[in-house]
Amino acid sequence: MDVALEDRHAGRIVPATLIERIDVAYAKRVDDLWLTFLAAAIAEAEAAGTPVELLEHTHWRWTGKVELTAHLLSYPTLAIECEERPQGLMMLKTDGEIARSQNEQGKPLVYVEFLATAPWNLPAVVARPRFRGAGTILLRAAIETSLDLGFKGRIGLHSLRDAEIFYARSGMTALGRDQKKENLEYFEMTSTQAMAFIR
Amino acid sequence: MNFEAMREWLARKLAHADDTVAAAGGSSLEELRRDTQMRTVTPTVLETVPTQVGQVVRYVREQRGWSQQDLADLADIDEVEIVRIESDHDVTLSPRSVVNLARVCSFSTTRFQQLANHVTVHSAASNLSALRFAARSANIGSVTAGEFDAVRALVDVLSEDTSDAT
Repeated sequence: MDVALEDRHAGRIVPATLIERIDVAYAKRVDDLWLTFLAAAIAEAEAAGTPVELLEHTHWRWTGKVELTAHLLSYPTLAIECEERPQGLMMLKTDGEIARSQNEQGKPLVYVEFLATAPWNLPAVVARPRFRGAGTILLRAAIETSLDLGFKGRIGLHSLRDAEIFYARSGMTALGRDQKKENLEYFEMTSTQAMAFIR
Repeated sequence: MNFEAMREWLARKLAHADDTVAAAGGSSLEELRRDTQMRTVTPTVLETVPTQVGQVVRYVREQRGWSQQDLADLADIDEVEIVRIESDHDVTLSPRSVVNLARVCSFSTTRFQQLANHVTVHSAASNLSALRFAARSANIGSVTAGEFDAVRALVDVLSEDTSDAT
């Protein structure tokens, strides 16, 4: 599916591709590209005497996650690609999760199991991040999946600390820290909020 | 959506909410493994369940990804009772538990009641022997593919839309 990303170096929005289900081989390629880039960036920073402090998710490995779920219809992993390289990945869970917000309690939703962007797009890793917009496009893809399933756009996720502001500004409601999920803040988007987001 | 529309939409979103850091997810790999395993009902899952009542309840519970506690909460019965249903050789269910479990599992109450009472049940829809089953309390030991299919067929019969609204 045709989507878009902001190329920060060129200062304009460029075409990108959304892949609606990746396989294990693709996940391996992502790990190879992302982890190699990350290790090189860390080594470079160490050599320059400016060690980087990284968020835990930058070390995530996708291969293991996709190996467990590739055969399950209810666990698609999506990728956004630009210049033939993966810029962001997202694993969804489309069954067994229900809404917690007061007005939609008990209704089914799409849960974002994992979402991450390529290390060259992260300011914690590089001085001049390359692309922006992967999080926004993937969030929209989660909403579209929810609409396709008849869940009316409802989605939920556990945000990493530095990303909370993005999800809050995107119109999601923070429903409190979740001890079962590393004490991360749980965010939910109601049907109404989802419609406003994709508009 | 064409590229022009998408570009305009993305620019608007990014101006409002910077997504430079957008990572989400708090599940461990172990948690993900457990969750995905719950989603596939395999013959192994039913191996330790000695009765057919227990097997159909376990089957539906696994299929929906519920823990024993989840099912107990949904059916408003004690978790201990779920454990007993799934592991005891001789299960006696109270009428209330039968009705509540049938509702939560989308079973016909009458049919589930018959199964729970060790009564031979005939599918109303057919006299085919494949759709006829008798409750059995003997320990299964291992579940063959044929037996697994029979449990699945049993769940189907119990879930058939009947008009015995209770």
